[in-house]
Amino acid sequence: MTRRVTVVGIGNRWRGDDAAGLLAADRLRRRIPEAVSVQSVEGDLSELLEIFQEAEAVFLLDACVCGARPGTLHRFLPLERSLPSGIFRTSTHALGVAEVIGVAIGLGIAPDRLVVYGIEGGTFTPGSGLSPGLDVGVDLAVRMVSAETQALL
Amino acid sequence: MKKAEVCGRPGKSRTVKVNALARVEGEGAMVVKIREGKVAEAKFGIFEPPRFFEALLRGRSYTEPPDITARICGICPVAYQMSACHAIESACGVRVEGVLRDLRRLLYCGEWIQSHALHIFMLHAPDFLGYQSSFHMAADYPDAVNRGLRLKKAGNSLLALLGGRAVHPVNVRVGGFYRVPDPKDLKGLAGELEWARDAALETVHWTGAFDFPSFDQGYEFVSLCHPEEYPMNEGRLVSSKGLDVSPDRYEAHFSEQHLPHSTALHSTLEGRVYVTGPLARYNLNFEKLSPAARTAAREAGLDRVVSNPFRSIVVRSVEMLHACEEALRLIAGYEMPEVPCISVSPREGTGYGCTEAPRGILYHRYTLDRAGFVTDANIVPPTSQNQKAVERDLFRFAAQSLGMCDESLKWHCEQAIRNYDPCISCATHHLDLRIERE
Repeated sequence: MTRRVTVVGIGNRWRGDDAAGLLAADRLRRRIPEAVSVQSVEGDLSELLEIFQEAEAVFLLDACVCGARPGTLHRFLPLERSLPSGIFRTSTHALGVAEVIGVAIGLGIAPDRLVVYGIEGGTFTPGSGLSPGLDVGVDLAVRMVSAETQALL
Repeated sequence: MKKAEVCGRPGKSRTVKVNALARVEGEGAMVVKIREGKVAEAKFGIFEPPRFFEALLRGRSYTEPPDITARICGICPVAYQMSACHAIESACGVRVEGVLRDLRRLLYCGEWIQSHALHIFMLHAPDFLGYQSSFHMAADYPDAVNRGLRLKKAGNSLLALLGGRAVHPVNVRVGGFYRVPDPKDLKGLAGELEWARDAALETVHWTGAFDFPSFDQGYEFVSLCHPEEYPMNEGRLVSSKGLDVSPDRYEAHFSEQHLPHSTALHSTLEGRVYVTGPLARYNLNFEKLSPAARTAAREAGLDRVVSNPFRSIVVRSVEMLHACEEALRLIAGYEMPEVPCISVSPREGTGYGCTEAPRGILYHRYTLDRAGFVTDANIVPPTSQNQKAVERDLFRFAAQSLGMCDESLKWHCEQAIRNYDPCISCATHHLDLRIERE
């Protein structure tokens, strides 16, 4: 269920580091207050549009490719500055994170606060494991999102 | 942001290349080479890595293919589940009839509605309206984008109720379902589907008013054909050039071939290029559309036979209207069955299933041993069947559009690929393993 403050992990558990956002959401569920909703989106990202309409603050967690070392954490505020194009993988999603946020802005349904955490991935091969170092980025994302969401309660 | 309208002057020799196609499902690329003022080559390459599902299925129980193959695609998992169920049931000598058959058809309606809505509004309409993407379009066409999103949600609601969840449903099994819905829950969706039906009708008129490049082609169309229904789950395989066979004869007439530039296999029908999907279904089954869908098609300017692939967006809208009406009809007649599934015991043999995924026919074949374990499997998705037609369209479209500047030609060629709503991750099959020795 979407709440005022909602965290969404995005990705594909079966494509190596693409699981990063989902893993972070799994860990956040165990440590975040109940007042914060933690959700996972593994398929169609247009689901995010419904979440945007219901929540006031949304934190997205997804794997990204910026050319940094796997596990590097990036933080974006897409309502202030557009997401850099092409850094969030869209291979198995019909719409990518940047497209969905763009649609939400175009329709005027973006939440008041929208933060995107990108966890740098190294391998996205189907069936592969996680890159060394990815776990560090996932943990850092968990700590930062946990602190940011608690500050909003 | 609208597309660039001013671009460079066309030269005699040039290469129009898109390394990573946007607004298609999966990873693909396109190359059109023009030499001395003539099209020399047009390729639609798929480089999404292959996933070897058929090998993965070997040794699995006959009960598992519906759930395993559903994972091939996040957009059309129901198609995989339906083809797998029909193939396994045919191997085991069982037919699912009555209410359970109706529920399968209803589930398929949900998938058609959500898949067509996604493609029409978010992936293909921006091409016709001159936008780089749906998010560039959203600010100028908020009503259309909202309509598309709500239609998609209406389809997803059917999938979630019947399938347990909207993406990769978990409630389908060989013989029927794990659990069937309460009539009250199903009838609770009727109001939104009535809205969806009206919205789909509006969409037929909206897309019918788009500008379409002049590009009628003499395709051979292939679809399922059922004596009483617009085809989804069942029927004979027919073509506009006279093929008429049961799905178990698929491999006697259709063959697959690997080409170096693509990880998806290319299909032919007795050596001929063919087209499957909405255009083929419409052309071969027009009389079985609902009366409202037929009327809407005529009002939108569609002929009885549509051979311009750019008009596929209108045909998809007509099919979406038909699926909404069909869903409402099935819901109105629903009575809860006594059991959610019929018993299916394994037996040694081979079974065949072919159903109509939103993008076209999806063929499955499974061979089972005496204990019910899969010893061999073959899956042919619609995108690999359409791949040759896509390349031929690219070649011919480029040949008739040589006066366009590169930017405009690239735009229209990408649009020509999206006419087929290709699902690239479904189609990938082949590992291009190259060993070089010196």
